[in-house]
Amino acid sequence: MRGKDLDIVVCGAQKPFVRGGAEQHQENLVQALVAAGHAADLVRLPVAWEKGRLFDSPLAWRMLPLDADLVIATNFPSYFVRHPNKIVWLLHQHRGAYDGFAGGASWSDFALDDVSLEEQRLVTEWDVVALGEARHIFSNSGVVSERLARFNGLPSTPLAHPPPLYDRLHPGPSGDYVLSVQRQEANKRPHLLVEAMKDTPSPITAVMAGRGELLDDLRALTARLRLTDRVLLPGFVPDDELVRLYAGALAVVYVPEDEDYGYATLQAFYAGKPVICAADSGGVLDWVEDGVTGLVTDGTPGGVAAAVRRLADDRKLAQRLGEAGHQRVQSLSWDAVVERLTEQRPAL
Amino acid sequence: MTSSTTPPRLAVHVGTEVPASLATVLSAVSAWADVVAASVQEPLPEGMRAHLYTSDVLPRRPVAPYAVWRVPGGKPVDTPGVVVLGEAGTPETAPGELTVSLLPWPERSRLLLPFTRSRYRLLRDLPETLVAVATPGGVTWSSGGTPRQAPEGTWPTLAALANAVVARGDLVWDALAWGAPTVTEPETAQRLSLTPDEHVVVADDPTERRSLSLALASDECRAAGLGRRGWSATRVRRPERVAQELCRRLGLTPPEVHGPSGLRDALDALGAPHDSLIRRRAREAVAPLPGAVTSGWRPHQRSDSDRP
Repeated sequence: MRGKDLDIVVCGAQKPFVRGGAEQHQENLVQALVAAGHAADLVRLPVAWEKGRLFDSPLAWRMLPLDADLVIATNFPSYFVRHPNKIVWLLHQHRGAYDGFAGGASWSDFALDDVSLEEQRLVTEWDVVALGEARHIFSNSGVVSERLARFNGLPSTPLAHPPPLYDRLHPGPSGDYVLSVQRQEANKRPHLLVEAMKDTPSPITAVMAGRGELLDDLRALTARLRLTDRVLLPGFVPDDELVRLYAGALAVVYVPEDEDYGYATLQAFYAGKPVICAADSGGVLDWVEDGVTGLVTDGTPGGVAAAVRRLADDRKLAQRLGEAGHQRVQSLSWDAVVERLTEQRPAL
Repeated sequence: MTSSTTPPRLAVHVGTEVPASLATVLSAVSAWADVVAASVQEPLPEGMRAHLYTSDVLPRRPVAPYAVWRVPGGKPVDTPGVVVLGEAGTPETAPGELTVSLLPWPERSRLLLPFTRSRYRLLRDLPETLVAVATPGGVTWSSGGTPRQAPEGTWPTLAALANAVVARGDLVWDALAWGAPTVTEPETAQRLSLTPDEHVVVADDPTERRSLSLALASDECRAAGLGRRGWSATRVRRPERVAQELCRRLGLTPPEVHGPSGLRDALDALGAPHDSLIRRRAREAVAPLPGAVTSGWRPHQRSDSDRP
């Protein structure tokens, strides 16, 4: 330790070749810690989510020799790391074993059989032990804290942070398109917006930025629905272009199923745009209040289409909601996050 | 002079009798440190890393670092920062003490929190709401209506799968070992050193206890917190856990051991069952590594329960 500044290791798990919000979050945390005068480094190990292999990576984390003043673990299974000064800032647990299983999600391979239930029970017990070792557990949203309380009986403190590009995003005149920025994966439900566009009048179009395993399927769906001129699926979009797209959008559509946090919501607010989400969008609802900072739909294509039409027909409403969202994110700062994560806590 | 491979030594200063629970803890301490008897009548043995005094022989100037075993009726121990140990259920038990219980730990018990319980009930075609009541006369279960007598020997199953249980006496220990959200009477909570509303819910009246158990059954978050804390409280009272924590707090760290047993130790610390899939996978992973297979996992062993 060098005076006030700490040697900090940020721990994160990553599925190789996949990059999303969690990876950006970990990298931005390291940057913020360094900016605050600490020495910070990021340690990542691969993770496998499938039953049968899911305990391998926790065990690997258990064996890592990490010499540092403080470790900050972020996601499953990085919080299995052992360190006398461990803080957890939880982005998510093994969702397939918990809320995905509870909700019968297609992306969870847990089922009602003895093998699944013993693995679910064991991951619960391991999580209780590993998370219970932390000096404090923060979460990135209210919904993550609720899951931790429901599934593991553990208390935690939600701690929000600015999204990537927060310092570059800015409001701009609303155009005739709605924007979606996300990985094109099943739990993000990108097909809802594509199907909603059938019932959305011209000249409104949709720009759906982001790659993912469903991108080709979405392009095929768009062609089948004869919407190729009204739904643009550019795949990866560079940051400069993303900032421009946010500034010119009528609204941002973000309708994931039970999202942990969701950068798109906060990025929309930094750009002064309202967000259209669904009533089951999880952590998004920490930020989107129906009729105040966006519109909360029933999560059907019809509901999304109605919300888009409403904002297209009432531009003043869109502007008012976007400005309210912009106000809501003004209190977020990385300095405050770093201060909370690194504050001295009594030994256990 | 001690070598780097010699276990640290703990001097134990006791009165005329060694309480049975302290003797059990000291027996478990021997996994980390050598226990050496000491007496005020004799010179202090050399090479002691730390000291443990029973409160009835605690001198005015104890040799630091030290811990105190609180003897019922002995002097109060209120020195800040001093590790205090005692037996569960003694009246002077204070928050933060290491508390020991000699109640047997149900060997097959596992932590089952409310969500997992709900899935098992679904799989086994059991009622969505299941509350078990254990009395000296037997065990009953209900799903909110008239209680029915449970078949003999089903208490562990009910403790594992019920949304909530009502129990008294040592049966509460069993229930908590399974992580069951538990309602009990004040006397039992006191006898087991359990904190009301933190480890168990407490009520005097049997009707009120049933009513509280039903309320608990319908509040998954509260039940999860209660079950988790109750399970943790019982787990840390097992003598070997107390011994481990005592050694940690006194700085009695064993000689550094670098070797493949770390993987097995990590699994032990996480509570992985001996016949679990992850144990088999870990064995497979280290089996080709020279030295690894001889460290507790020999090729002919089929499970960790076979290990010497």
